[in-house]
Amino acid sequence: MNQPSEPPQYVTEIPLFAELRGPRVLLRPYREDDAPALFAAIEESREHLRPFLPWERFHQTVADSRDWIVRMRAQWLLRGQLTVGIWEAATGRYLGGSSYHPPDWDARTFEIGYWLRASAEGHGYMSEAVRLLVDYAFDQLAANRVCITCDARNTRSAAVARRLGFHLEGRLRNHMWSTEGQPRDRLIFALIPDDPRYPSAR
Amino acid sequence: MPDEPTQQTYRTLIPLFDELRGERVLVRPYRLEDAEALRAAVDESREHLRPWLPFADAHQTIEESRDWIAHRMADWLLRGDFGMTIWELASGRYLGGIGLHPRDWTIRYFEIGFWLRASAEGHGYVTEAARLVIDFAARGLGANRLEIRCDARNTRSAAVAERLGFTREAELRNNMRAPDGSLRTTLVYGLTPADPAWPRTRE
Repeated sequence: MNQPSEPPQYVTEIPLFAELRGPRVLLRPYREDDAPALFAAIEESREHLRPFLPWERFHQTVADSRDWIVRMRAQWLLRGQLTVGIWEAATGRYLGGSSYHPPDWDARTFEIGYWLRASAEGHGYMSEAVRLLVDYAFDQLAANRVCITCDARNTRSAAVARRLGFHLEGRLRNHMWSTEGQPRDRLIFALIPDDPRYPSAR
Repeated sequence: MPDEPTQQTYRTLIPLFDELRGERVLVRPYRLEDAEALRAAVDESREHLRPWLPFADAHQTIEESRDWIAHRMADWLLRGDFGMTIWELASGRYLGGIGLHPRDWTIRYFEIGFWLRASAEGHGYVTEAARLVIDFAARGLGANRLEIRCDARNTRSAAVAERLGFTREAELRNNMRAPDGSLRTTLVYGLTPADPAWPRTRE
């Protein structure tokens, strides 16, 4: 089990990264001047996001996206929701986003959420990005648990979790309300420190 | 989908109940005058509660219990959380607590939690009380999902969920700390309108 040497007294003192780099992707917290790129990626992806993610409709203008970025920067400072953008390292093209949902800093449990712009799907960018966040959680944040949850119908999202070796811990029936207003089952995937990470990763 | 009795403009206007009666137990919301019964029941049960519940060392004085009850009564009025008492009908003895905790009002998903005083275990009182609460949640609140969670080591709680016809849906490893600080595996049990044990509409 990972044990931090001496946990900071205040969660706002917990050290975080400025950026994470993989072979093909770069992850970092958003800056306000990312708003146009974020908004454009959402604009191109509305049909693709709508069945599973409720928030695309909150980005109707670039100012909406900028406001959201400011609020995510505040969350980062408070060690609440920890949100990063994902860029293609070679080109600097904006690809999508990912978050640790507000962690339980006492139990050191983390949940990771993610989305990719429609035109960037199918290249394994998301698996690479999530893997960086999983490694950071276990290796730097002393995670005892990292989980991913999704609508049982969201096969692409579940595939990312499976590809990274997450265990399917269960299926909670009628656990969430879909963006179309229907009850949906939720899949829960998790890794704990004793699990082999990425046994099937390419 | 069950009836839709919760389509109210104000959540505070959702109809609740004064009491629920079973064959052997009565379930009702807390009153300030329950403080001494509550304090005494917790006091006899501290060792028995400690592994599973965070309040084993609470309720040291009647004032503390009255304060706690006042918060539960306020939650009840606001429909924020539904904490209830369980009584033996024949004797009027206080047996323990049962709670219905709203997790998502959009889908109307509630978690049920319970505890029994040490000397009242083993008679099926919690199962009977939970059936009354399940019935209210299904018919009175239009629930679409009910859930019971417990530490995987808490075999008595898991047995209640199974006796009530809940399905074990997930085992969440390391998902929270137990009261002693150790990481626990949490069992998640669910009951939905599709299940045989879901309350059927009265003829």
